[in-house]
Amino acid sequence: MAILEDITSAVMRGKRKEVGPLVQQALDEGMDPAVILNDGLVPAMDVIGERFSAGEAFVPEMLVAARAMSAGTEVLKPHLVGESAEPVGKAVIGTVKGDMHDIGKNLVRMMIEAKGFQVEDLGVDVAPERFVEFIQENPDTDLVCCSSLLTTTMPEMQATVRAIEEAGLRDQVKVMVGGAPVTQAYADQIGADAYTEDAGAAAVRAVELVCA
Amino acid sequence: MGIPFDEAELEVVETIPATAKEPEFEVFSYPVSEREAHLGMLAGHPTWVLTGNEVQKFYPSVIPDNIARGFVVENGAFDPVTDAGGPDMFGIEWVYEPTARGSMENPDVEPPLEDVNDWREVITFPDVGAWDWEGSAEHNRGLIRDDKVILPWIFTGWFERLISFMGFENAAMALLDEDQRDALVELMDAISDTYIDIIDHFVKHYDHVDGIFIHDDWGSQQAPLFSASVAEEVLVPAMRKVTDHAHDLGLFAEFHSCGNHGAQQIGNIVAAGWDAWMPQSMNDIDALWQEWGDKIMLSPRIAPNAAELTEDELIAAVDRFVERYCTTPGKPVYLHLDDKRALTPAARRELYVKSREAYAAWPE
Repeated sequence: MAILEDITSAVMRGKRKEVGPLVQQALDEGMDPAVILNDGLVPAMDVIGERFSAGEAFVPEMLVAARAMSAGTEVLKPHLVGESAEPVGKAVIGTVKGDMHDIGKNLVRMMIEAKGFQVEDLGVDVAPERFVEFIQENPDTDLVCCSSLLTTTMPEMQATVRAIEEAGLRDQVKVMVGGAPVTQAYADQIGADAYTEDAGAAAVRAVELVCA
Repeated sequence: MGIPFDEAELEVVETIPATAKEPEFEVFSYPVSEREAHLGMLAGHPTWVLTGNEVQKFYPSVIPDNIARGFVVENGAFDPVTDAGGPDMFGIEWVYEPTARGSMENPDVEPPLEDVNDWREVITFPDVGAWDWEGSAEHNRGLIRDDKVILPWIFTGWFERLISFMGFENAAMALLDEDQRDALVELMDAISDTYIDIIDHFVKHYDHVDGIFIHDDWGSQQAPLFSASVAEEVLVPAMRKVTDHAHDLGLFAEFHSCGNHGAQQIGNIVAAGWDAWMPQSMNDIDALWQEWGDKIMLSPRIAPNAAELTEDELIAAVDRFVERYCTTPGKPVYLHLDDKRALTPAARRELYVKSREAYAAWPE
C-alpha cells in the first residue's frame, strides 16, 4: 500500500518530521497498527541495516533513520495491543568496565530497538556485577550485549560471561559481544553466544538468538 | 640522479634507546639533514624512506588543546596522567584516560550545541592572539633544532571538533540534516579561520615551522563514518582553506585520520590539499598507493604482520618493499608507524641502505 511505502521511504531517508504524520494518517485511514509497524517502519530499518553492513550506508544514515523510526513508534505505541504491543524480547546492553566508548554500543541499541526489543542501556564502564544485578532484577531478560573498543578492556567481556555463569544465570540469557578488537574467535573463546561485525548484523542476530 | 649512497653514511652518530613501543633507533651520518630529507621527499626528491624520527616533537602548552588532549612536548616536564585534561581552546572539558593513553570529552558534561544553527550564540571561539605566544617562545628558546622538521599538531580537526560541540550522535546526524547544512558549512569555515590564526602565530613566534599536522578521524574499524559526498560538501572546503594557507606560507600539510576509509575518502583527502597521510593498517594501503601515490605521500606496509616476523624475514620484506615502492619516481612513501615499531636495528639499516640506493637513481 502506498502509505506504507511512504512510511518506509521516510524512515529510510531519516525524515523524522514526515514519519509521525504519515503514521497518524495511516491510523486515521483505519490501518492495523501492527501492519504499520511490521510492514512500514521495521522494513526501513532492515534495509538500512543491510545497507550499513554492505558499506552502502553510514553511521549518520543509521542514526537519522533510527530517530525517524522512533518518531513513528511514538505515534503508534498507544494503539498497539495484544501481541503486537509485546516486545520481541528484553535486552540489556553496556560497554564493559574500564571502557568509555559508546558509539558502537548506541548504534547496536538503536538497531535492536528497531527490531522490536525492549532495551535497557546500562551505559559505559559497566562492571560484570552490574550486568548480573540487572538480570537478577529482570528475570525476563533474554539477551546481554557487551561492547568493548579497547584490547585492554576486552577481558571484561570474559569476566562478564563468567560472572553470569557463576550467578547461575547463564542458561537464562544469550550473550552477544562486539567492538573493534573483538573477533568471532574471541567470542568463541570466552563462551559468548554470538559476535557480529556491525550494528545491522547485530540486530538480525539478536532476533535469531531470542526467537530460535 | 640523487646523492649516491656511501657506506660511510652508516656510521652511527646517535643511538635512540628502545621504548616500550619502539625498538632502538640508530641515527646515521646522513648525507643531508633530516629536515632536508623530509622536505625533499615531499618535493618529490627523496633521499631515504622517512621514519618519522626526522620530525622533532614540539607541542607547546600555549595551545590549550595540547594540555586538554594530553600531548605537550616542550621545555619542562609534562605528565599526562596528572597534567592533562581541562578545557580546550573552545572551553570544552576533556578528561585524560590513562588506559586509552588519550583524552576524551568529559562524559559528565553535556555538549553545549544541539542545533548547528545556534553555533554563533553557543560556541565561544578562542582569541588566539591573546595566548602567551611570546612567553612560550621564550620558554622554549633553544629547543627547536635546525636540522629537524617542526610540525605543529592540531589535535581536534573539523568533524572531531563538531563532535566535541554536539556529542557524536548529534554531530553525525547534523552532517545529513538539510536544515543545519548551511550553518554547518559556516561553522566549519569559522573553525578553519581559527586554525589559520594558530598557524600564523606559530610561524611568527618560533624559530622555524615546516608543516602542519591535523587530526580528524573519519572512519571506524570497518568503514568510513560518513559518505564521500558528505565529506566533499562539508569538510573538504574548510580543510582546503587551511591547506591552501599553509602552502602559501611554504608549509606542507599532513593529515591524520584513523579508521577504515575504504576507497571512498582518499579522493576527498587529496582534494582537501593534504600532502601526506598515513592510513591505518586496516586500509588497503597498497591499492591506495597504486591509484593515488603520485598525488599524496602514503605509507604502505612493509608487511602486515611485521611484528611477527623473524629478523631475516623482516629484512627480506624490506627488500621487497623497496623494490615495489621506492623505484617509481613521483610516488614517494614513508614508513608506517606499525612497521617502525617492528623494525629491528638491522632491518631498519637494510631499509635505509636499500632506499638510499633506490632513491639515488631517481631523476633530479
